[in-house]
Amino acid sequence: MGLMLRQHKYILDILTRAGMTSCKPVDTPVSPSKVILLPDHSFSDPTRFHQIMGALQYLTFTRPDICFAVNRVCQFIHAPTNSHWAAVKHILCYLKGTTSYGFHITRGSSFALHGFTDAEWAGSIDDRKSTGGYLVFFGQTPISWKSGKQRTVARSSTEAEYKALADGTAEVIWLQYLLTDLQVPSVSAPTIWCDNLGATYLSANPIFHARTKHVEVDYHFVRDRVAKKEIQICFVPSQVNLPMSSLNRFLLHPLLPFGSSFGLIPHPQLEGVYYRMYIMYLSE
Amino acid sequence: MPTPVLAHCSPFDCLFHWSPDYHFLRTFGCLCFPFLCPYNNHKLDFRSSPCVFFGYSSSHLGYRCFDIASHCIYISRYVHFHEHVFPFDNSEQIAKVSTTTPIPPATVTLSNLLNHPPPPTSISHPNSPQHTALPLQIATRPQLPTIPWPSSHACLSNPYDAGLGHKLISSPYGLGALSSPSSASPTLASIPADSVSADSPSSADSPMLEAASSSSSPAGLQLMGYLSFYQLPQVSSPPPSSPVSPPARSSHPMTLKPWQPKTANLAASAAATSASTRVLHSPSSEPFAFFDADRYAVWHNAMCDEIAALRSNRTWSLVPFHSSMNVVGSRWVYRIKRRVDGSIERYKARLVARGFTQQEGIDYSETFSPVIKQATVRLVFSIAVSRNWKIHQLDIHNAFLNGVLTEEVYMKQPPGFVDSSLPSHMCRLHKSLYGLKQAPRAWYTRLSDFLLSIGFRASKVDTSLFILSDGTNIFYLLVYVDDILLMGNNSAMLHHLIQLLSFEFKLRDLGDVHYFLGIEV
Repeated sequence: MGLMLRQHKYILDILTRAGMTSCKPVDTPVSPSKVILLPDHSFSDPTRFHQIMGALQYLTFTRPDICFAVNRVCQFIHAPTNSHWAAVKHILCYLKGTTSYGFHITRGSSFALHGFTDAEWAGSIDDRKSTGGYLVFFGQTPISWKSGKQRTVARSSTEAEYKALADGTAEVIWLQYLLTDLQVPSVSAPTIWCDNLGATYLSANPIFHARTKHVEVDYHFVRDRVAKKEIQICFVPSQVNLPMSSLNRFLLHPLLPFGSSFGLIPHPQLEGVYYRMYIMYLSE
Repeated sequence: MPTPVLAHCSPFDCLFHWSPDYHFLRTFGCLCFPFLCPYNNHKLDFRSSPCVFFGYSSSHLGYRCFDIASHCIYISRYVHFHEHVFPFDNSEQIAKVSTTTPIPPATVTLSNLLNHPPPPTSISHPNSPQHTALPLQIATRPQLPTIPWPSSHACLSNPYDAGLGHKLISSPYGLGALSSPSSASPTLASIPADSVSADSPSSADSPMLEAASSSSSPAGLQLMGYLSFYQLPQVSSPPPSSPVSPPARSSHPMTLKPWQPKTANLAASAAATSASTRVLHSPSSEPFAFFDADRYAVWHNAMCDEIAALRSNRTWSLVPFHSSMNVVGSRWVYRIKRRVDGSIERYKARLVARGFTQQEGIDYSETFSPVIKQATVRLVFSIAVSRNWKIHQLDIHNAFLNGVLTEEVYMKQPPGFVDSSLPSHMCRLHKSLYGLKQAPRAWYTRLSDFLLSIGFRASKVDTSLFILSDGTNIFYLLVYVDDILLMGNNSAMLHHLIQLLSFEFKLRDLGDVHYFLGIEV
């Protein structure tokens, strides 16, 4: 039951435009071993690069799984090099094997919002900035996702996670406003799951110390919402989190098989508290 | 060259699906003023000087211009042309030559002449070292393509002829005949006088070959030495059989556009082209320019339909031109709409305004038009699925034409549909057109005003989401430019809403959503 949103034809069009219709499919959108940031010769056809990247960005409408990979390459769109183009081709090879994937809107009774945030600390080799991301579920349907490099350098993984948490909080609050506008009654305060204990404590514990002084604004913003009970922050072990920012690791994770569609079901081993991605292969 | 085998398209058109741009081609031998600052030694030097257009640079995107005063050849990209002034023109003397011989009937066609070229009579260059006196090393220049040559100025001669009192020996075919191998040496060619005059009168209709005159004056000899490198390639194409495609004259890709003389006629009175001259068969490619399209009956009809729709929509009114107006141009865009199986559904012509010439503050102010956020689409879909609602997709016909303009925008009359009684008037636009900078905003304003008037309210967090609720019934309406999604919990009222919308805008109810923003549902 439900609705399947996918961009099958759009993916085929992109592959045709890139001349990669007969490429060999790969299993992951990002190569876990290759570093794409090495200094390299600039790519000979930047316009083509831009066009493909623009198309891939639009593809994230239905494909949260390539969100991280696309965003990572998009950071170099002003001066693409050959290694960046290789990364793009890796994404295209991944798409080649997953053209029928989309996201599945399931009919559910729950109208609760669940956000998942994660960060990759100091992931950018050039400037050591972290990448943060979030994924928000409405009931069992993912409705909002983002992955992006953070604007400031984080001095600790807690700080990076905390910034991602603040971004996710802002998104969840916006969605709450939208739900109010849509006259959908909210049942409980939205929950945001964060896989960093330090960040979880920081959102409740009003202690500043030397390593977190400088994240004051985010600190106050999130803590304010938590104090008003508009939002609750919970810890989720990394094994079952949905790390948007490091989807490559996530997709290779043995616990979480990657599938054709994304949705949430209660985790069988963790008594419904945690959620995990489930696989749903639609052989249409 | 267009060929009947390819449905009267040229191989180039079929291969690349666009017609080559001929705007770069200019009239050979005309007066021009190149931009000379790169050549100048001082910034206060003249920025240009009168030159004669000699051709195209083989290694640059530029024109080669022969300076009349200094006898230098300049290569410049920025050149002003006076295509009706010919500094080397000696048309009186040509006329003398022509009138002294009887004019044969016009049955001597170009293809006849080409297939049976008159035997060239080469005369040896009397002063061959002269041509090395040219400032540039012309002897080393590669062979250049032939150049379109207007019929009324079939002769290039030297401006000094008259002043020096030299007798002119001229031949419109001078260079055409030079295509024999003997032309490698600097020789002059001449054609018997009768065949020369045979072409002169008929040249008004037939595209002209490149021609040059020779002169016995030293300057003229220099010129001819230079011009002898412009050679006409031998033509071996068969005689034409198509009614629209004139004979192939040259195998070189940069030759005159086949129906160029006809273009001039079309430009003068495009709308007046009689239906009998139009091609009735259906073209398979999308034309780029109006003149390409107007030859075909299907495109002409498509344009007539569009004009009729615009008139019924009262898109503009004609007003006299005033110098304070900022007038934007307009052009036609042609699209072939195909069905899923690739067969042609219809030919669509759309008039678009050239909005890039608009000036902020004069004919547009705000251009921002909100679009729906992705998260909103997914959230609304999710709610609709959870509540088991049907999602209706509506398609608005010519959405942008519905927008009402608040600014004063003036546009030139559309090509081919100029009001013959008021040709100099401008179109004062009342409704927006595709291409205008404010068109999306005008459409959004129009739609949102209407939706608000029938009871919807715009969401505060996403202004492209409209909500209608009266306590028990609730409807969501998503707007993405001209794609509209409508859903709600009361299907009877939903259809009433669609009817209300269709009274205001011409729309089509596509039923259940299947394809929205390129996303398959």
